[in-house]
Amino acid sequence: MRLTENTKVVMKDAMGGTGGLQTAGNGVNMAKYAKCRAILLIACDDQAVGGGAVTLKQGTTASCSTALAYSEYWKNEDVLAADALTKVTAASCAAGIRNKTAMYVFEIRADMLDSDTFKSENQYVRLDLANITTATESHSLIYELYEPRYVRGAENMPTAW
Amino acid sequence: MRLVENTKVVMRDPMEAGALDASAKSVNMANFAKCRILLFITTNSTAADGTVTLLQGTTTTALTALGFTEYWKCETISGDTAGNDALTRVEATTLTTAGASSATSLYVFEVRSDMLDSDTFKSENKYIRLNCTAVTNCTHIACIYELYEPRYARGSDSMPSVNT
Repeated sequence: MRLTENTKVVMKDAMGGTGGLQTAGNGVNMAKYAKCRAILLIACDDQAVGGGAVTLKQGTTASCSTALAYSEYWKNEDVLAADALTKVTAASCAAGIRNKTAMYVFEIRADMLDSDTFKSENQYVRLDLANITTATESHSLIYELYEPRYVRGAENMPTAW
Repeated sequence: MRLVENTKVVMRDPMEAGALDASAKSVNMANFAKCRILLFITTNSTAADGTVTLLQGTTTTALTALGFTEYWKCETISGDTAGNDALTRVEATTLTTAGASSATSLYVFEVRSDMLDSDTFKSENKYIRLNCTAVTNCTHIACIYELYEPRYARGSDSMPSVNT
């Protein structure tokens, strides 16, 4: 098993952005995948940090705006110095550390998304990061969808757009 | 199975503009069978090519070439169409043109531990790193190592370290 043949790596928001990640149109489609891991990388400069609130969103289109609750995430708030993750049991997250590069990991299962009987089930998810205040951040957000319903190899994994 | 509980995600180089060629920034594969390397490059110019190589060594200062025969790429990873998340497999032993013009590109390398050189004097190579010489007008670059198939699986909070 090689990861690249079993997962779909997606980047929908521009790398190195500042001012938060609140692009409603940048959801990924979980219809063909059972799970999605979101990796948020944030480098802050050497100023005081007012952490940016991280929320998850769900929706029926790529423009997700409905809250998607979570109860845990993992973090490593100095990735250039160490590689250990810490599990955090919480329903909210204030991201960003002064003068550090921090990583936050969220795991989403398809059965966490809301569904109803009118064929308007939510399929799309995205991570939303509020602006980090005072410090200037540079962020990258990587979605990795895995456990596909139809495995077809690295070059032909179902699209997540 | 959740990925976060079965792989080790490592970033050793800052995600900023510039080259990824710091020789001490390797990861240790001793406790893992495989490593996937994700290289993201954003450029804003028409001249944006750089060379990518893999290196191996007995310490974090890895300087010995590590051959590869394939990689995967998506040179419009942050575009706005359905094709922007499709990987293309490339059969090649070199990558000299990393960083498509005015786009964000993704390059994926898969390294197996049995690809590394070994000998009988207990100086086997355990460390690997990606070396990316300067990419012209690269505005952002991020290199993520993801080690998996650990010899001793212990869950997300306690996966073996790869920094030493």
